Amino acid sequence: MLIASYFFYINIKPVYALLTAGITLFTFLFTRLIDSTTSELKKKRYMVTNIVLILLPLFFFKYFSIINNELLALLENHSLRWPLPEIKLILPVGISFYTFMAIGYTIDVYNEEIKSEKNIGILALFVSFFPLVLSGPIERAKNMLPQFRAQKILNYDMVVKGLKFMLWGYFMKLVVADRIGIYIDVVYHDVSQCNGTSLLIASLLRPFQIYADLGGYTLIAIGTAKVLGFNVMCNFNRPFFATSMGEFWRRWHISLITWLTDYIYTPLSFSFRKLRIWGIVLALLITFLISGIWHKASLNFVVWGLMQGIFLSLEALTNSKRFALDKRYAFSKNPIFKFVSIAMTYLLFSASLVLGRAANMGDVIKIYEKIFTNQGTPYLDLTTLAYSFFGIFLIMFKDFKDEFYPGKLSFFSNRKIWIRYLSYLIVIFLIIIFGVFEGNRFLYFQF
Amino acid sequence: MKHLVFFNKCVILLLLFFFFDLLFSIVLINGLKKSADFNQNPEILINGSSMAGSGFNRQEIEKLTGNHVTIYTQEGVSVFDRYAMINHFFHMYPAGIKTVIYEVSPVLLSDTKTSVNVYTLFFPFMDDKTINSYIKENASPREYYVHKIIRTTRFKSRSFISIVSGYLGMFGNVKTNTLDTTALVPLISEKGKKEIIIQQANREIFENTMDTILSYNSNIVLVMMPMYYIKFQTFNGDSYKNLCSYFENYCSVRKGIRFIDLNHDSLIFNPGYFSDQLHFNVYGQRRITKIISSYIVENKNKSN
Repeated sequence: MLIASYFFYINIKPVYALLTAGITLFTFLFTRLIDSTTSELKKKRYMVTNIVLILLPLFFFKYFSIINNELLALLENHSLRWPLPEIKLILPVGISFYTFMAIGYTIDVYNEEIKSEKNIGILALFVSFFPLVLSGPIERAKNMLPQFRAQKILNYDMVVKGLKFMLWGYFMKLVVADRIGIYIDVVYHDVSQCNGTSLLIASLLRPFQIYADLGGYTLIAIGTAKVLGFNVMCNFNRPFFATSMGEFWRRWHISLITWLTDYIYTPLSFSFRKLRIWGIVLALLITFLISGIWHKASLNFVVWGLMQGIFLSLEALTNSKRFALDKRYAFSKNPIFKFVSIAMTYLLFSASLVLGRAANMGDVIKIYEKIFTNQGTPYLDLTTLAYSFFGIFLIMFKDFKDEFYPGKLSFFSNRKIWIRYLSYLIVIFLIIIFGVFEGNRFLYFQF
Repeated sequence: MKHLVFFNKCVILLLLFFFFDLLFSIVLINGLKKSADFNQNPEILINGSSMAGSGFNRQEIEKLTGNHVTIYTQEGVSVFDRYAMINHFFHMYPAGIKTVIYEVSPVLLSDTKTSVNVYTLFFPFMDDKTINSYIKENASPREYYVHKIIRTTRFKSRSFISIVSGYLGMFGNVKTNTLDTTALVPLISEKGKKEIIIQQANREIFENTMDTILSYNSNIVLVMMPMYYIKFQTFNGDSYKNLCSYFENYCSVRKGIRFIDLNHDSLIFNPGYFSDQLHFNVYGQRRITKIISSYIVENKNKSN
């Protein structure tokens, strides 16, 4: 499995496999050192050194060009020239994901939640496991290492389950995400030309594009792992049925959010505990600021991260009052209130995603402005929109059914074999006929 | 035992897949043929690119001329692709037809290929011998065999619109938007820049196409489709005249071929007829359909 994983990664770009190997080696050495010492100070030093060492490549590849350009611009503003070497860097695919996994493992060993792995091969497999190496889910060592240690035998049920996950994942990616992408790319590429309606449609479609893209990728990854006999955590839990931003973030990109919660938010809120509720607010703001900067070191993503932090902080600050009101009037049981809450959560998230897609802050302001004034030329590619909405409808129908009627009206898991087979075939033919096969990459490969 | 059951299930699923693949492909190709009206015995064929596709309303021409019409057009087709289309058509209708309306454009004989993957538009017709060899020439072996074996891969989402309209009997142009002329302002500076060069290879293919059509005892009308004047003026005026002269001279020496240039002032200066600089909206389509139908009726009367 390790050879297969490295072969997979080498196929993308051979030199980057060295990076994965380096991160594995450092992590192995330092976690063994953490385990071998009883001194708390030494343990902490080893942990911090390892984290710094494995974060260096991530920082270098992700932020060198940006820092270089900013520095040059700053110096030139003061009539100084200090040309740094120009290095054209291509971010190694999946570097964030395996770095996060290695950091998580190091901290878990430090916190004595798990013992350090004695077999470097198994640790290397954890870091480079090919279904997860490109875009996650960001798995935990305590879940994966025992599975890697155990001997695998072909499990028919797991294979079937895995293939079903993969099939739906391909549908989400090829039929929905890439189809929506066609419309969004045109509109966001020409913000100054397109009118507010087109920009509004593109902005409202964006959350579905990311959900279908990353969610689709995740299902393919989980499915592949299942076929090989491994259980991997899920990454999305029907996020568009969340009634608040807090709930939304418990359902969206779960592996990243739980990682951020465990390794950043929880230690921070513990440190700020004397500030009580404001400590939580501060921890939330810092956590989402880091999340924003992790996505991209740009003003857009800084503001995006802060926006998420502010949404969650506002919810945290009004939590007790909302809870009291709900206890008195039972709002949460009212279907209309629930529907409005779902819609509001979706709209807030869509509005924030404009920051993630627009080229710069100037475009962000232009988009918000145009949405309310509707200037410009409409871009209505009705065919693409019709196919997009059809795909979204199918995804939302499945999510709605799973959310409110779990276990009922199942297709892939129906007891009747002909319904099962028919649904497999329909999805396969939908992918063949409506899929976009022009080699679009997964959106999260860039992170 | 469980593995054997799994294996059997895979085989059954595979067989079902190929059965449904065949079934769906029959339904889909039928819809596609209906949208072009390949299923009846046509008397007039309209062949060309999407410019011609947006300019002619089949049902309206049939009503005005009393002839059955087939519109066989595809986006971005070059003179080479059009030769394959003509061969494909006459392979289906070897008895020949009365008239072929063959759309020509300023770039028809100068560009080698408008788009590199136009052949993918013809995947649905792969079962036809002429189209099959045309695709085999253009596609990669992997692409060719995937489409040959899995039949539904031949139909892309774009052809699905034509299939649905074929079954619903909706053949008209549904675009009602008019041309946004402000978007064409940058083209004004391009005025007269594009030279139209008649490539030898393209001319030969074009003349072969004409020979093929004439060999089926069909008359040909070469129609230069109009384009909005700003776009039209990007072509060098003299070289455009040369191209028209070539068509006129060719028609004068070949019996059964006529040429009409629709780049009239009354058409090309009216943004209300265009949905973009090259394609017509529903109003433009009405106008073009009327012009061509009258032309066919007049010439029918003359020949009578």
